Amino acid sequence: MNTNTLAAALVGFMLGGLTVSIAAELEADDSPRPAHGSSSQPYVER
Amino acid sequence: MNSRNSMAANATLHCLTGCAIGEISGLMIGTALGLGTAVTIALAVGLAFLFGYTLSTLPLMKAGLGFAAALSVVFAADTLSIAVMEIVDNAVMALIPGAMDAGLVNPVFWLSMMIALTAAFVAAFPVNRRLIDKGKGHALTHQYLHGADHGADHGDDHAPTQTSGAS
Repeated sequence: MNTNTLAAALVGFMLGGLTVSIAAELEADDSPRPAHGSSSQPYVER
Repeated sequence: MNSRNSMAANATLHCLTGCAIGEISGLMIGTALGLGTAVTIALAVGLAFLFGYTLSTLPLMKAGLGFAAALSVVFAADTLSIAVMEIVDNAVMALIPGAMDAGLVNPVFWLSMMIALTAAFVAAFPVNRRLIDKGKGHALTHQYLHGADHGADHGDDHAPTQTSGAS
């Protein structure tokens, strides 16, 4: 196989890995947020 | 770029391709299995040499050399280049904070890998250039590939190799 083709495939593979890992990080940042009004502190009326 | 620099760049890219396949596989396996830094580096280096030698041996065998003869030419031609690449590549990976411990879904792993492989190319290029000047390194394999199906694998802009000493 042509060296340039292999090198291009490797670069593509690494860029793909980088893209997937960034997407995974962003998704992890988004997910575990408590919704508004769901605080663990009980609401006390004064 | 003059023809020897071009030849050295081709040789370095050829070595780097094999090294990178082994290195990436080794680091991926090591980080996926949670192996320690030393074991991961050992695995990556072993696979890098294996793939580096394989990628250089196959074209020689295609050109008509026997397995043992091809392997001995490749050992002489590629060992120094692959060794320099591996030392630089793993040193850079070890120096980047968190790179060796980063999982596969951590961007640090992939960015570090790109930086390390680029550094390995930059470090190995002058080594290959000097070896070609001396008629060693990729110049050795070029002798056997010249006249075979060489253009498809290495480009057609190679200068005739000098085999009688430094220029």
